[in-house]
Parts: sequence; C-alpha cells; structure tokens
Amino acid sequence: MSVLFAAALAVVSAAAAMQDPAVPPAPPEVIAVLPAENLSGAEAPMDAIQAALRVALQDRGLELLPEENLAGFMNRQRLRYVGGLATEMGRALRAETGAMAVLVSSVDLFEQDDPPRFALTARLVTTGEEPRIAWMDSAAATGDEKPGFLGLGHIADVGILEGRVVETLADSLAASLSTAPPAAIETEDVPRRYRPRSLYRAPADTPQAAPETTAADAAAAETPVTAPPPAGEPAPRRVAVLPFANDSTAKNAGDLVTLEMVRQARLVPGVEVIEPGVVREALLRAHLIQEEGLSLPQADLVRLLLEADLVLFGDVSLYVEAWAGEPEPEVDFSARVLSTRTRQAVCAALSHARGDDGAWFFGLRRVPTARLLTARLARGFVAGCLDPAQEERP
Amino acid sequence: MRSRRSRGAALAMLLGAMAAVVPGCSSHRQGNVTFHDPNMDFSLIRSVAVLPFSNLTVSPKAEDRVREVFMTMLQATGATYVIPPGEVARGISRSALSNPVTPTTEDIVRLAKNLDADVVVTGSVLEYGEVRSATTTANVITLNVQMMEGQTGKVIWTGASTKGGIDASKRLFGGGGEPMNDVTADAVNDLLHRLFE
Repeated sequence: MSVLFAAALAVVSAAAAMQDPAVPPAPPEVIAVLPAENLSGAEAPMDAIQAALRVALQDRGLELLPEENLAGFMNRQRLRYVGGLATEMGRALRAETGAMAVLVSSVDLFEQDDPPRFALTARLVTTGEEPRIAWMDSAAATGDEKPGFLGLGHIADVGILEGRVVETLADSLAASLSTAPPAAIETEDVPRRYRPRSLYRAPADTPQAAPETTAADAAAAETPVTAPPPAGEPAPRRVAVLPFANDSTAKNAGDLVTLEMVRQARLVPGVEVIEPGVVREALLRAHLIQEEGLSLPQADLVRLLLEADLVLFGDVSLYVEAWAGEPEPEVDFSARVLSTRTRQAVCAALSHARGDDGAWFFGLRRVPTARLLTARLARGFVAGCLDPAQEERP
Repeated sequence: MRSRRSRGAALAMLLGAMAAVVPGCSSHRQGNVTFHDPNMDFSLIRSVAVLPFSNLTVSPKAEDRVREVFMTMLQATGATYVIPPGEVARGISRSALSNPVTPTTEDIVRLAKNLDADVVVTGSVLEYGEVRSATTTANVITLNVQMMEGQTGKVIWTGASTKGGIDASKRLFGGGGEPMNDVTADAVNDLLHRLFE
C-alpha cells in the first residue's frame, strides 16, 4: 500500500513540477543572465557587478529572465557551474523558462587599490539543440590609463571603472543584436611584438565542402543560429578550445587565456568555436584528463564527441599582473592546434610579451594589464595559426 | 719631459693590465660542446619524440618550460615533425618507462616503436635563473640535450649550450641581463643551429 502511495505521489509531484505555476514561461527573445564567475583571484562585489550588468542590458531594451526564475531553474537542475552552458542544460533552460539565450560573464580583473583595475568578459550563448556562441566581448579599464594633464584624468574609484566596462559590454551586445556581426580579424592589425615568438604552421588543412542539404533537412533543423554554408562552399572548421594548463603562480590564468582564445578564434573567418560549456561537459563525460597535452586517442575522442576539426590547447607558464611590486604585466604561454582529421599538430607557437614592449616616451603604447596583454597575444596566435589568409602571405 | 714620458708609460701599462684582466673577469661561458655521429644521415629524420627534461636547478618547472620552448622551436624549423607532448606522455605510459628523464637504450627503442618516432630527445637543465655578482644580476641558462636513434637507441647527437650570465661589460658598466625567456630561446636556438649545421 505504501509503495502504491509513494508511486502515486511521485507521479503527482512530477506532474506538478512540469506545470509549476511559480515558473511562468518567459516570452521569446528572453536572455538569462547567469551569475558572473570570479576569475580575478581577488574578492570582488559579484552581486553588485551582476546587478549593474542587468540594469545596463535592460536600459538597452533587452528582455531578461527574472532572477527568481533563473534561481529556481538553477536550484531544480542543481546548476552550479556558471562558466559555460552545457548542451543538456541549454535544452532544459529553453524548455523550462523559455530563455532563448544565456549571458555568461566573468570578472577577469578586480583591484581596488590605487590605481584600480577592472576587466569583464561576457558572451551570449544560444540555448536549444546545441549551444552556440552568438556574441562575445571583453573590456578592461585601469585608473591610470589616461592620467592627462597634472593627473586630472586619474581615476581612484574602481566603481567608476566598473560602470564604464559594463556600459561598454552592454553597448557591444546591443550593437551585435541590431547590426551585422563584427568585422573579421585582420592579421595585419597584429603588431609584430604580439605575434608568436616562435611559430610552426603546417601546410593548409583544406576545409571540407559543405554537403548539399535538402528542404526536409532544413526543416528538421531547429532554428539554426548561424545559417548553414551554401552547398559547395567550405564548411566552417569547428574548433574546440580545451582548458589551458596553468603553470604560473596566478590563480585562474589558464581559464583567462582559454577565454581569450575562444573570443579571438571566433573572429577568424571560416571558424566556428564550440561553446566552452559544451567542451567541458564532453571532457567530464569522457573522463578526459590531459597529461602534458592531448594524446591522439584523446583527440579522436574529442572529434567523436564534439565533431571538432581542430583542437586548441596549451600551457600558461607566466601570468604576471601589474601590481605595486611588479610594475609591468607579463604573459607567456605556449599553444598547439591539433587536427583531429589528420591526427597531427598543425600549429605550435610560443607567445610572450611585457606591458612595456614597444612602449614610447611617457608610456605611450604601453599595455597596462596582463588581461589586455593576453588579448593581444591571443589575437597574434589565432591570426598566425587559424587564419587561412595568413597562409597565403609570404 | 721625463715626467710626461713616464706618465705615458704608466697609462700604457694600465691599459695593458686592463686588457689582460678584463677577459679574465668574464664569466660569459660559451658552451659549445657538440657531438655528431658521422654515420648518421640527419635528413632522414621525420619525427622526433622529446622526453621530459631533467631539472638539476632549484627553479621549479624549469624543465617543463625549457622542453616546451625546445619542442616548439624545433617544430618551427619545419625540418621535422615533433610528436605532441600528450602523445609522448601516452607513449611513456604504454612503454612503462620507469624513469623517462634518463631512459635506457631498451627504453628508447621501445618508446620509439610505440610512438613511431625516428629519434628520441632527452635533456637536462643544469642552470636556470638569476646569477648575481656584486650589484649586478643577470639570467643564465645551461642546457644539455641528447638525441638517440629510435631503432638502436644509440646516441647520434649531443649538444650543450650556456647563454646569459654576467659578462665583462655588465660587470664594469652595470645593467641587467636579458629576460629569462630570451635567454632560453637563445640557448635553444644555439642548439638547433648546431644540430642542423
């Protein structure tokens, strides 16, 4: 009898959970803003930053999923990881809350002491069949970057920097939703000092032509975020960026470089970067632990699970943020790209730079933070390793 | 007249003494110890497995850093394919090498077969970091690398290189040395230059 009652209770509670009146379906085009991840290695007012981000997005007319709805969803799904969106979680989020996309953000740098520093990275990931990165950007500011005449432009309050950075990112997101995607990466833009110190690139790994799709296939596909390439044109190369190993003394340096690689690789024409949350889910599911990088069977596994054509991974050996005792930021990493089709390393590079590399008098052209330095080095690496146009250049 | 002549002689003696002493002060060591097996055709080498280097310094992770630089720069020459480090780690595990930094001949043969590598490289980092002399400091690296043939396990090339350190000009005029990254790249470049010469 008790068994029957328990079974009945389970059925009733399951039905109640499915029609929970406390979770009203959100209207379409709603964005769920996940709590920001703190990668700064310092105590940061995450709630205040989160609130500022929400206000900035709402000011630009974006409709956000109410915080209570998101919190309820996270409790029900026991969602703790907020650094990305896994496939199952994306499907569940869309089904339960109606959110069409998720904003994943991270505080990369937070320093209150004078001069203050603040950096934020955010990306918009679509929910649905497979999470895809629809937009990604990063912004950073320091109190001493534009001191001006007699130091009148010096900023001592980190709150002012927070506001500026959040506004910059909100503008970038709003612009990306209303206008064309950002211009593709220009390899000529990368100054020599940010290009890899040592670079190997294998001869071109010719992308496969896209198969012809029928009308039935197109109808079966669920609202693709990016239009499939026309028949005959090369399909985009799918790139999985694996978490970089961190051999530096800075906390989360591996995650910061990984995020920047994702952001820069997205800008290369003909490249589709797999959402880091999906990559993480696959690595966990396959119990894949990289020992000194990726082995060939592991690369096969990544190809099988993620349908990745290229796998990008590496190691951060030095990540020094500019503090009082260390006046110049310095970043050093090595990275490799492995083709899962040919099972060979197609690119290997060493990148290193200091904040004052190429700086002129009075610190002109100086890069004030390791976060910005990482962005420039990652751009140099990606331009050298993934951009097909670079191959044709002498 | 006599005093002027004696002053000139004293100056000449001083300059001569300095010329004799300054090279003696120099600690800039140019380690250029190299062995090439005359019977080996190095152009036939297609794939290289670089084993973890041993670290004989007090700097933690120096061996990983130097190995990474060596692997990338060797691959960047385009002369040979360097097997990715993850695949090398798997090969070490499959070959059950008890001590991969100092493998035996049998270990080399077994590993090369597993990884399908033509040659296997081992190395040691003997010096890595800052050296100090009075008020002058500079970075220095001493690196020792061996290359073994995969089929026989025989040593076909060895090289050692020292870069950085405090030379006479730094000792006399002060000034810091090169950054560690540049010194490491210089040493690896020197070794690769001698490997392919």
